[in-house]
Amino acid sequence: MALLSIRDLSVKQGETLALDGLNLAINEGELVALIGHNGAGKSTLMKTMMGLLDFSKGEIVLKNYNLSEDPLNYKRRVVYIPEQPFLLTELTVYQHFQLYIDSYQRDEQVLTPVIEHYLQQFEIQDKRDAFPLSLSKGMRQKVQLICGLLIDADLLIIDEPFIGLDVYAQRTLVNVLTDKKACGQTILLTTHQFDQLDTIMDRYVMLHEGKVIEEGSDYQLDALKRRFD
Amino acid sequence: MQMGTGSLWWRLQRAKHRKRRELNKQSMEILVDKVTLFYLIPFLIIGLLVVRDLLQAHNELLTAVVNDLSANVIVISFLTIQLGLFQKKPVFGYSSSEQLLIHLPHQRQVILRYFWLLKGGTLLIVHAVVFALLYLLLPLPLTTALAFFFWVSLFRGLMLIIRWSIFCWHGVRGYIFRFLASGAIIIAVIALSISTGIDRINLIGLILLTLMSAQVIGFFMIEAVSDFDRVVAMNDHFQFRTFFVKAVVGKVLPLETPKFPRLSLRNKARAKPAPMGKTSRLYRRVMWSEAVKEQALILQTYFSVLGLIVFLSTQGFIFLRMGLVLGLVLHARLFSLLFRLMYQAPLLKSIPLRIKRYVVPYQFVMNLITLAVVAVGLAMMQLMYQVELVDGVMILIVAYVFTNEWLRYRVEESLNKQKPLSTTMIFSILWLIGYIIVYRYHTIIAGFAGVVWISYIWDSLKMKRGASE
Repeated sequence: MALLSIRDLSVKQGETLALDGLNLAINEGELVALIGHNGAGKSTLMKTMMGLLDFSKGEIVLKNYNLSEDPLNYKRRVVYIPEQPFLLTELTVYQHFQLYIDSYQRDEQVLTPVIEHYLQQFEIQDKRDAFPLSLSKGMRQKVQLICGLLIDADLLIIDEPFIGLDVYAQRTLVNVLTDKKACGQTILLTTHQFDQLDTIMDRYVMLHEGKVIEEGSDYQLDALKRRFD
Repeated sequence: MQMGTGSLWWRLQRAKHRKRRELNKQSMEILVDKVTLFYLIPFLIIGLLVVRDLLQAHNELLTAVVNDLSANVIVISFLTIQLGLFQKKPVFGYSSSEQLLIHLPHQRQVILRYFWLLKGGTLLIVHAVVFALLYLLLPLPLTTALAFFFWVSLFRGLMLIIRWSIFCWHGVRGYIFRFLASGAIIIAVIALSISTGIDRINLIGLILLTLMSAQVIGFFMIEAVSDFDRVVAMNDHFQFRTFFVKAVVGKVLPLETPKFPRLSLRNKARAKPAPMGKTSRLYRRVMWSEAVKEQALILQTYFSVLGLIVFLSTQGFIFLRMGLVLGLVLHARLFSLLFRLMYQAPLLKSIPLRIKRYVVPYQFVMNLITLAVVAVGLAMMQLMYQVELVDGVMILIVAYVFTNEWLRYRVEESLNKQKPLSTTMIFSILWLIGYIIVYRYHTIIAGFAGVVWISYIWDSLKMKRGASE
């Protein structure tokens, strides 16, 4: 049985149908890349999966928890890292980690070394008491990444993880994702940078005008890249 | 040929107006289709006719109220000063397009003068339409309607530069100035309400003279008292976000308003944040930030509530009780609105927020303010009508329970993904019934108790709670 099932999902934005009867299933331990042109509906799908956008039809179910019927238990099993970091201006970097730990009901003492590890890996260990407004865009992106990576939720959703990161941070992130996948973490991400995912991606799902038009496995990626080129 | 400042400015305003009209048109097309509109208009007309008939049915009461109010026309006019005093939008629509003109050979002072004229003219037209409608709908004598029009226009006109300056004040200085301004208004309203005869005329004369002086001095010092970066940023943000545009776009794309450091003392405190012993502090901090961001709305609501209670207490015991009920409604609505605004932050919407811990401290703060609001009303009651102490305490307790219930309902409703319109409407109707009970039996306790009772029954009938823990 799939970890996540999206059935017949439709999202309306004004008169436009941003997602049009979309169906998607993700199995446990898979790393799935959502791909497609700009405006295909990738980010809309992710935001809808997190309850940030309302949907007009369909259902989203993760491990028997339906987003519409039991949003709290659903959200406890999913963690989302958006493309544009949406940190709270009033909280420091470390307080954001605390907010995530508290909301996902994890043990702060257990996760403190993990936080330190990620802060060092992403080279922002001196920014733990800084407020988001004093950070650069890339640093904010790193903070948002750490918030999400900290929590070992059933499903990790990342929207365009490589945008805004320097080359070193991109490499670090690929390493972290590789480790997470090795530990059995299920990951759904969107990207235009397929090269970064060559080694770890299990499957890609291509969206177009709010519908899944193609699915394939990693060995079909080369053919796909050629098509995009 | 070089174009004059006036004609260039006017062209800009017309272009902006055209764009706003176009955006409104597009938004309307998305919001309401032509068939719905076709059916909606007759319903609106019928609705207005029903309202008129209802008003005519209570003609005697309205006439009595109007006669009573006309003696205090100036007090009411003065109350309108504080309308829009603390607002998010600057008074004049000076945006980056006007700012560009400054880099050309055009003077900012001249541009602001045009804005002042435009705003003053618009105010006159809007007031004329509003008071004409009131004159036609209500049994107002012509002289009273004209007096209202004159005084309201005069006071609001005199407040243009002052409101602009207040908008520009921020940081600690702004906080202190706003505090002083609000204090001055409260004192003036109370003094006007309780003074009689020659005292009242003297007081009004003094206020008018002060406002006129502030207007003239502020006008000549407008460059000095203005924070144009803030004005431009706010106008750029708001100028095309009309009511209809927000109705369409707001749901899909919640835009953040531009942020400015408001309280510099707090900013300094931020440099070295205190270590977080408990995570509940995080929630408190988020709540506090929302309160600071919405301070204009909060201040304005409480001025209205306070002004309302003070003014109505001079009109009679029944009016004071009605004022208390309305005050509590405004207060509870403001708090549920603020909570919902808080929860609109995408970060909070995307994580499994432990909502109980979020609501409890929020309710605590709200209840403190509830008690303060009711206490003011009770003090007025005690002072003017010598109400029994037991009655006062009863009112306090019932008001406390009621606002708690209201908030719990509204907050949980806002966090529930399924929010059928019918639920909100039924609750509003129940509230209306409660309000009628208050009015009909002249007993505030009966009204509150009725509403609380209905809300309990409603709660028990309601299906599952959704997102709450």
